[in-house]
Order: sequence, then structure tokens, then C-alpha cells
Amino acid sequence: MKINSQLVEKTLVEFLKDEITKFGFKKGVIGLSGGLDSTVAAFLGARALGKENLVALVLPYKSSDPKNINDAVEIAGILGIKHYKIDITAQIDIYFEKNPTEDKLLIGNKIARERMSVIFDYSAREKAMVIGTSNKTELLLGYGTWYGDLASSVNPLGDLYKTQVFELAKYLGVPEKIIKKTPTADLWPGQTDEGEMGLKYEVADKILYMIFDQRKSKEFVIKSGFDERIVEKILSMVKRYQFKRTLPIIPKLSHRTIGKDFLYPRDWGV
Amino acid sequence: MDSGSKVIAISQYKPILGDLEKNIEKHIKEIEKAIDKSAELIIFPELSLTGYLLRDLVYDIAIESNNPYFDSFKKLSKKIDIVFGFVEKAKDKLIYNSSAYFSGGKLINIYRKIRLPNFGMFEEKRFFKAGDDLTPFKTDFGNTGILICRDFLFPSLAYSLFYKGADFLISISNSPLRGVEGEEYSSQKMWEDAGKVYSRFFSMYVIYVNRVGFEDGFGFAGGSFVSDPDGKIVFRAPFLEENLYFVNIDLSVRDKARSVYAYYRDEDFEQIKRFISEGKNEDK
Repeated sequence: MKINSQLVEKTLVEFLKDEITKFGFKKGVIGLSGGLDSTVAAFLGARALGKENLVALVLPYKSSDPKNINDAVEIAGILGIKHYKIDITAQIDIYFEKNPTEDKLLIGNKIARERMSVIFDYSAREKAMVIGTSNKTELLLGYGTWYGDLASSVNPLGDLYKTQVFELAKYLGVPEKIIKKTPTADLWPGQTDEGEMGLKYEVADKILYMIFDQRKSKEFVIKSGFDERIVEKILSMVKRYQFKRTLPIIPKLSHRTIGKDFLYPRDWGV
Repeated sequence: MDSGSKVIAISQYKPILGDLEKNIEKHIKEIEKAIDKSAELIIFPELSLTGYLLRDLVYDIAIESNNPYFDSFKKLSKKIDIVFGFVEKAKDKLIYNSSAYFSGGKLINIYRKIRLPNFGMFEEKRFFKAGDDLTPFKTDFGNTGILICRDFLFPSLAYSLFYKGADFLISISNSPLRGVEGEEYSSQKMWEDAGKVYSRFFSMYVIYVNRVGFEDGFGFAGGSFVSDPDGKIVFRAPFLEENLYFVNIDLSVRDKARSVYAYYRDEDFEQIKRFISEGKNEDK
């Protein structure tokens, strides 16, 4: 699971530069939460596009931890990138006044999708491509809001496990306090990733790596000392949330169907 | 055969995916730069006229080898030998992942990729027919053999070229980078390992030309290199950088290696043919 952070940085910087500029964009836009993933993605984005070409959005809701919001603003300052701070409380609350619920998950998903909506709005205002911040662990475990924080145009961290993002963060010089912070989606007070999933990243990453990267069997992983229940849980999460990693499915009717045998690259003609 | 010092140009090229005309324009500019620097050969990567991740675009972008697009390359090849990769539509309308070699105003060789990768991220057999011909041809650089990308990972193909008298091997490639745990991409090391072995034990110069740029998140590493008949990497291009590199090679190094180390003389091809024709061990 070790990575050569220098090589990873070089590759991801080139990836962002290439996949953004060839579509005629100079700029990128990114949501900053004050957490590790968005900070690392912003560091890479600023290096790829230049600080003048990365725009950060800090999007607090009334329950957001003010520490995270301050850290997000501070990161924008450290990188020297333009940022907009837009409070999204009003539009969330007006919706739930009319459609009340006590379900934290519903409210959390709504917040994540509102942020997505603002980020895409700013991508058009700024003529900038949306840089995503989802890592491989959360993509595999389905720990993200479909069409919320999972939505983006380019996602530099999508092939790095959370523990690898930590490694990369240290190499990139991300401030210590961001690296030491307990990972959280901060969608309600006291929420933590590991608490909500009932999994430790360090364990989840090792299991995912063995099963999917090294193609080891479930039995092998359990034999090498991992708790059977945890292994089962991880595998069932990966399976259950496969839909979040795909585009909407289309029923085949014609001889040429999008998503089936209409096989064109996204980077068509660029 | 000519011996002596020659300048070759390696185009570590980034194609525009699926745009034949823009790529041809870009190729011509690179060729003109190489002519200005008195290079005698310019090599572009696999599928340089089209890009790699074509999928259904292969049907639109395939051209026959007698197409008018090649006229400007024929003309330029009076001043410099040119190799590039393209999607070829054969006379029978089947589609190949091919290379074209131009020299002295003519298209002198078409080579069709033999070992199409079709696993994991690769799906070349879905779109291409595999080639079935491996014949070196005479150029100012010697008996020249071409291998395209995964072909180069089969020592049997390099060995077959050696048997057929090749002493100058061009390998054009579109190798997606992967493996970021070590000093360099682990995918890159296997190309250099193969290059060093072929150049030393088959007494050939090996010129490996890989592309750069990203397509749908697949990054192509670059890291083009030249290895000589002493088994040394004598030139290595940086990773990920699009550029035109000029390399001096001394063909007398090769010719000396062939005389002194005499791997060709001491190989017993008839014996090897017999070994293989005897069949696999489990057949007995």
C-alpha cells in the first residue's frame, strides 16, 4: 500500500493539467471543507493550474463545525487561491420547513447535494471544471452522497485509499492540524466517518487493498488476521453501493445504446 | 550496411484523440523540426495519428495504406525516414493496429501488431484484428524490425526477428502508467528490462518510443529509451513530458558486438526449431 508520493504528485498534477486544459478550461473549482481530502485535492489543483486558476467554495450550513470552516478559509489563504464563502442554511432550512424530517441522513444528503449544486453553478460562472475530492476508500464503501459530494468532472484522489491520502498530504506539506483531524463529513454535530461506518480506515484500507488490488480471496484475508465480520461487512458495502459508481442504466432497445454499445471515449477529439 | 554515427529523433508525442487531420498536421511540424536538426529517422509512438482509447472511433478513423493523407509523409521521407502508428483498414476491410515506415519518398513497410492485449483495462481484440507477419526490412539503420507495444513483451517475437536477421529494433508503444509504489512507475521497468535483454543478447539497437498525455484518466508514461548492444540504456526521456528528443547512435557499436560477441553465429536456430517442434513436455 506504500506510495511514492513524489511520483503520485507528479502524475496527479499532470492528470489535472491535461484533463482540464484540453477541454478548453483554464480553471478549476473545488469545495473546501477543512478536511483532509479536499485540502489535498486543492493542493494538487493549485499546483496543476496555478493559484490564480483555482477557485475554492466554502459552504457552511448552520450545524457545520466553525473550526472546519475556519480551516477551509485558512487553506485557501495558504494556497493563495480565491475563495467564496456561501452559507447554505437558508435554502436547506426552507426546504425542510416544508418537508419536515428527523432523519439525519436525509438532511445530510440534502446538504451534500446543495453544495454540489452551488459548486456546479460556480463552475459555470467561473468557467471552471469541478475537481472532486472522493478517495478510493469512500468510493468503494459507498460512503458519499450520490450526486452530492460524489459528483465532479475530474477526481484526482479516486485511486488512492484514505491512508494513502494521508501519506500524500504529509509530502505535500498540508498543515499538521488538518492531517491530525478526525475524518468527518460534518453533516451533523459529532458525526465521524469511522463512527458512522463502524470501521477503522486503517483496517478497511488493508482489507480493500488485499481483495481488490491484490485479488486475494476472502478466506486468505481472514486467515491473515482480519475479523471475519469486518471483512464480510466491507464486501457487502462494496457490493451494495456499486450503483453509486455507475451512470444510470438504460434499457437496450435500439442497435446502438448509450452505456452499452455506444463506445466512445470521454476525451473524444481533445 | 551503413555503419557510423546517426542522429535519430524520438517524438514523445501526445495525440489528439480521434482527430486524424490535427494529428497529421502536428506530425508534419515535428518531422520538419527533425529535418532541421539533420536527424535521419523520426519515430512516433503507437497509434500516434489517432490516439489510443478509440473504441468505436476505430471505424471512422481507419485508413487504407494507399490513402492520400500519406502523400505528405512520402514527400518528407525524401529527407528523413519516418515511422508512426495508425489505424489501418486492410483491403479485406478488417482493422489493424499498424505502423507505417516511409523512406526515400515511399511507404516501404506496414507492420501489424501481433499480440493484442485483451485483459484488465485492455480491449484491443474487440476492435482490431491481430497481425500475422514478422519480416525485417532494409533501411539505412540495418535490418529493421518493428514491434508494437505488447509485442515487445514477448521475447519470442524479438527472437524471431533476430533469427530473421534483424539488427535494429523499433518498438512503438502506448503504455498506460501504473504502479506508484517504487522509484518509478512499475509498468515502465518491464519495458526497459526487455529492451536491455534484447539489445544485448540479440546484438541490436533497441529504440522504444512511448507516448505521453492522458485519455479518460489513463496516463501514458513516456520514458522512451534507447538501449545498445552492450545492454546499456544510452538514452532515457523523462516521464510525462511531451518533447522531441535527439539521440546519437553509433552503429559501429552494434557491428562490433555482432562480430565479437557473435550471439548470432553461435545460436543454433535449427536446434531451437527442433526443440519447439518436439512439443511440450506434457504431450509426451
